Amino acid sequence: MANSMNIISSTLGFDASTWPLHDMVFGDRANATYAHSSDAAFMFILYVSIISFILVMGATAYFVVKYRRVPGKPAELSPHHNSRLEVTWTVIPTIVFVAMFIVGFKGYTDMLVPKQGGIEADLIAAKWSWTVKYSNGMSNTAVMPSNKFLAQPVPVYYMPAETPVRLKMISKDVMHSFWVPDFRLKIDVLPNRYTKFWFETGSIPEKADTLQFDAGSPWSAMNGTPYVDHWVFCAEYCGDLHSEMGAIIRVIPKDKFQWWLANAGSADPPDIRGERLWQNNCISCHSIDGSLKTGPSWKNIWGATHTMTDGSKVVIDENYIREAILNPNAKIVAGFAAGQMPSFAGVLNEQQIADLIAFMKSPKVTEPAAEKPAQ
Amino acid sequence: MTTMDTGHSNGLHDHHDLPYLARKGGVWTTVKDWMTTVDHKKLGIMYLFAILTLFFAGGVAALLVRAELFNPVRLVEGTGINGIPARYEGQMLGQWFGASPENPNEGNLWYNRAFTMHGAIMVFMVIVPGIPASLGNFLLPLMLGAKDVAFPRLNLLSWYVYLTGSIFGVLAILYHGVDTGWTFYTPYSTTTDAGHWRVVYMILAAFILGFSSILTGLNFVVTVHKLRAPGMGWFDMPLFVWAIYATAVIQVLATPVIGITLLLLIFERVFRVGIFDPALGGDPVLYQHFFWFYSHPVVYVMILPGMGVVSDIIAVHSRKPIFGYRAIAFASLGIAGVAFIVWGHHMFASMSEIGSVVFSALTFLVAIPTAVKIFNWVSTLYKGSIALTTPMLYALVFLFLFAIGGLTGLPLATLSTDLHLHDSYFVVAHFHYVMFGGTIIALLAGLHHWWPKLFGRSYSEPAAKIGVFLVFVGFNLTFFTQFFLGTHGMPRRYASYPDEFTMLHQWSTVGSFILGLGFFWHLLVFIHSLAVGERAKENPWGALTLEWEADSPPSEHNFSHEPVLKHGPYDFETTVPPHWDAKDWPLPDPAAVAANRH
Repeated sequence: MANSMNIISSTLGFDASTWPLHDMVFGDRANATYAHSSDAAFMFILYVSIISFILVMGATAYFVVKYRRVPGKPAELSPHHNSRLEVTWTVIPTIVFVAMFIVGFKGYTDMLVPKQGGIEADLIAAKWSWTVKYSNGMSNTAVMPSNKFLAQPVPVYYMPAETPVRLKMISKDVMHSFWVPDFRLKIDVLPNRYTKFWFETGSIPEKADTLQFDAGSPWSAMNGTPYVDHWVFCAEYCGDLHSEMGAIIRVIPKDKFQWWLANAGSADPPDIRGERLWQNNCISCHSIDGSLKTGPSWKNIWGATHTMTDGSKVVIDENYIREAILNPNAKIVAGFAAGQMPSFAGVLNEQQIADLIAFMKSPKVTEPAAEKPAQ
Repeated sequence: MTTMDTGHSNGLHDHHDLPYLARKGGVWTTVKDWMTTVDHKKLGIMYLFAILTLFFAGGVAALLVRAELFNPVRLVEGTGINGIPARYEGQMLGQWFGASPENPNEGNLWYNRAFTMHGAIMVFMVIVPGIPASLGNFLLPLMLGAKDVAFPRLNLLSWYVYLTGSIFGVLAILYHGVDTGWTFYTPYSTTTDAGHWRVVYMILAAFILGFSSILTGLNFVVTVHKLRAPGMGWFDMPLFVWAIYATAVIQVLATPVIGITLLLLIFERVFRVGIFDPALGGDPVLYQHFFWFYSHPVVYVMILPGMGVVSDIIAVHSRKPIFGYRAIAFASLGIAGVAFIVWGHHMFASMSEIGSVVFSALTFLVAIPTAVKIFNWVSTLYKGSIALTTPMLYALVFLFLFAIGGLTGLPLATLSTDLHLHDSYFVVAHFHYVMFGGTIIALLAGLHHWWPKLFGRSYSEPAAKIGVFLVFVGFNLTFFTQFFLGTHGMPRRYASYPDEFTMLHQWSTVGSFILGLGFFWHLLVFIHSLAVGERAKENPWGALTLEWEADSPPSEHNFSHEPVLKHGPYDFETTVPPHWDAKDWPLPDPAAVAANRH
């Protein structure tokens, strides 16, 4: 038994990417240590399936042609059952299924038992965005224009290559599921307990694309960095914009990641950082162009006086915004439903709330005074 | 016509000898007669019409889903950020239903409602009751040689319960705009509408429908135990009856769980006891356990009757005793038993690790009897006298599609590969191959096989075969493409997708419309048959089961005499079928038959 386990383990060491049909089934973007063994398990099942399907359907086709009805001639005689045959075709599939189970179990332990070292980060899911918080408290991400996939901009999370990354995941509202197809793994994200997701990618191929930022950008030090992108999808249905709940994991070399982690958080001015936070956390419910979404639009909201559901009038200032972020149901603007917005306490720190406020005050959100409605 | 002693030799032509479809008076009398009938045949026909109507509604919802997915949603103007208004394209349903092109939420909402409608109708109202309630009701007493089911009035009640549940369910979906998917997972389903009652209504609808299943199931169990014709032992029953029996047992045992779930949900809503809602200290995964503890066994309620239909059709149309009769019968019971201990395989991505490992191992247990059945069917063809009639073609299509459905279940039972494929289009394709390629195709096979018995009319064989072709091509084009979408990373229940998936989605949509055309074609063939079809013979296929001894369509009391079983259901080697002439049915040399038995 130990010997056969070894054989299976070494089989799983195979890189399935060169096997027949692999690229047709999966494409060529697999990139996690356990992805290859998962693909090998799938290909093993696929080959067994194709062979059995051809045998069964081949026999069916042969019988249908050979034994087609001839009028006036009864069916030939043949045994009504055959115990030896029936036991055989019960036992052989059973053995094959046991092998499949063992292969799957081995791959499963690779997926669930994380490697130590590397980095840890928190992943927070909410309708309809993913936020990654790195160990230094930064939840900063770049945002990519969306025309390739989504209606809204897609957040991009930088991750180091060839390094174990462990995510501790929690949802702020309903269930979501964190799926990175190129890693071959998804784990549900629950509102009432942490779940875990780990991965370690391979090295970045030489032909990879490289990052290019404008000359004046504080990011230009990253120019020329090779990267590989992987889609992140939400795989547990979560409502209207379920299909917009995507992100990109951008794998870059370890040393570049270290530089980025140390510098990215402070490289931009506060209102730009705030804009990114809005795009990652707030955009699905709060527009800045006046269009109506689940929550009030931020257009011209700064300094305005709004009527609350209880009839009181409140000036939208720093303290109101802070309260609205940390305790959203305390005061609800009239015309909007309570209970829609989750608290961002523990997700956004004081610096980030200040950044958001800077963004709300910035000219992108406040239109010229002439357009302001009379108070 | 058989001219046996009818027992009604008083000279009066008793109305019970009339075909069950005969009208007894004016329109009002006829309507009243049907609405209050306790005749299992009329109830079966009414179920059939209700189920086909709902199938049509669910099918339209499916075509809406596929139409939406023909193109991805794209931002075509503006950005939606920095104050520039956005305009989106590709939200086909949203535009049809008047949603704003500037707000992606609204357009997606219509898509989400369409797939919820499709799933809920197809699962709870079509596939679950499908074969047992329609063909089962009509054929079970006939196959057993009985006058009716054991409790005819209960049968009428369960029809009205089904009707109530279906109407209630459809109205609940329409009125509340339910967009939760047919699984109603908490906490999404309980937190996203203001009153939080939506999921309660939906579970209530499922429970009412389930109640109808329980009543029908009880009725069938008792009928099989008590009303078999004299001389019919358990192993003389047609395999369709075995399958219906196993199904009925699952229905009676599993359905109460959905009732318990309903009670718990109501408790939570009314008394604020935390059970499923994390805000009250409950656990949403617990809801999944309850849901699948019911819904997984129900998967076998969906497929077992289809297996029964196919077993009978393959035997009759190859004029061959079914190979390994007992193995198939016991495999049905085996599947029914294992059905109760594999629900966890729907939750590998959310369950505890040990739970996942145990459920993965148990799930492979289901694969064994399923594989055995396929081998038995294929072996039945060996040395048969095979006629490629429409029912037989559909039975072969069933074998083809169900084999793919079964084999693609293996990577979903395997832990490491499931964590990739779970909730992807691979799963969508897999369960359509099983539920549609299995159950619905078997329903079509059975409908064509028993059509002459049901309505006393023949349908056009060549025309029906065009339908088989359209359905086969359309189905595979629709769903085979989806396996590749899934392995490449396309999540299910998405209204939009990255560019790389566009081509496969478009092929799938084209396939779905061919499939729709195929069903429309079949509808025309059926209407043509009912309107101008030739009178059917009593036993056109030369089958040996008892329903073929009755008239076509059967008289009100099924048989003019109490049938006594003189041969097994598949003794084609020794028996000239009822209504057939011995010269048209040459039998092999009895000595050779006797030698073959040993």
